[in-house]
Amino acid sequence: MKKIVLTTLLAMIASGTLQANVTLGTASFQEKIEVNKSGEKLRTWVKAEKVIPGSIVRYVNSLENKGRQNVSKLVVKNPIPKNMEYVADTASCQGSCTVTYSIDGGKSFKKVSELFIGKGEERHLARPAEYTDIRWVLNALNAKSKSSVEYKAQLK
Amino acid sequence: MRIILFILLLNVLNAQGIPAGTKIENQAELNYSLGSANFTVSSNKVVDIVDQKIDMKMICQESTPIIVGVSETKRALSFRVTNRGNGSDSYSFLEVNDASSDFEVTNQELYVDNGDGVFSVVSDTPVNDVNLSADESAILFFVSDIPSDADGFSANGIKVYSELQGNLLYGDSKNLGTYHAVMTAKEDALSALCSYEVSHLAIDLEKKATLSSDKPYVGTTIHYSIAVKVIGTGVLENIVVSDNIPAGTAYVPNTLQLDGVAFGDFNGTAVHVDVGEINQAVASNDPQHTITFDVTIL
Repeated sequence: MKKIVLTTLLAMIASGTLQANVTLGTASFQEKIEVNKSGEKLRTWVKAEKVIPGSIVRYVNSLENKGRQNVSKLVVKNPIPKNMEYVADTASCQGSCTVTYSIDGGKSFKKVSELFIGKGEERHLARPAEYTDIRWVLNALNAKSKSSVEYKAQLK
Repeated sequence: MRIILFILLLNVLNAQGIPAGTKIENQAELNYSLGSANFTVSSNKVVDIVDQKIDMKMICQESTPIIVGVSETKRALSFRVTNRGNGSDSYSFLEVNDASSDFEVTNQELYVDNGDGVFSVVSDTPVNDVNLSADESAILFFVSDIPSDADGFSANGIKVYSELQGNLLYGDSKNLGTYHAVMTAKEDALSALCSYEVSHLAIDLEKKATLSSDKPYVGTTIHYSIAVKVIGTGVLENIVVSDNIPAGTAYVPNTLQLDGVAFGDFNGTAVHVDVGEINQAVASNDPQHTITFDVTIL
């Protein structure tokens, strides 16, 4: 019995299955304006610490492939936090990706131009504030490499 | 040496917004493939706590100067203070003077309205400070006496101070324990001025309403009382008081009276009382006449 388990384990290591090791981290940032002596404004993003109604928060999801093999078909889903509204055209990624949005709590994702809400005369193209989730699709992430996706949301 | 001033970027909304102390949580999920195997990874959860926005505004509610007579006492200017923040706060007040005023008022007092929007020494309450929850407002009456030698205009106002604000300036913040308080009110929103204008002879009408029930129901009788006062001293002639009956009500026949005696007429839309002449030899805040009538709610 011990021999069978050991054989299976060695086979998995050989195939690289156990080397799949992609991590995902999220962090929140806020914009600060530095005004220097000349009156020039320098904008920087710092850790979110003063969040009040109206504040815009930038959420960055960092991906890192710590494994030895390339991975593919990466799909990152991020529900927009409760009490926050997505800021239009702010979802992006490092490199190339496809971004779609949900208005039904993540059950389905579509392009902005295909998101409709309501029936009859009330039917309208969903406003960014009505998005519930964001999805980024990346083709691949090479071994020992990093990437990130991000978006901005405003506190109601 | 380069001096750098850090200013938190504030995009402040007018409404109160999400209450201070609320947790905002963000967490993402990743699915990916390695060969034929699929994997799912969840991110850490980042939690931001909503800070308290210190934001209040004082406005003068008088659209025109309040006409007063010399030596009048307890004349009110109406202000409204609003908590535009996202949490409760306590406010205190200081008087604000305008150097361009023609005269200075005396015996200033501050009252908070009891909810009817009309100043009354009896039913309104003298205050030094008020507590307001998010988006709540209060009507304040800044009450003064008019000097005997007053003439022209006098601008008088109040400035609001937040207990949370302390010494914070716009954009500053302080730690309240689990979250911060951030000052977002600008200086010019904190104070307002209203004006008195002295008239040496004028009519002042004060209207009051009394319901026959605790709330206005269909069939409720509203008893109106109009006090006819004279500001200043002198003779006023050909005084006629007219008052339109409110929409949704009907005049109660034979209820129109002047000083308790049936007088005047109702033309279907308004009551009219020909008061005639009033001679006020000595300045007084007491009514010279009182007009009363009743309506019922339809």
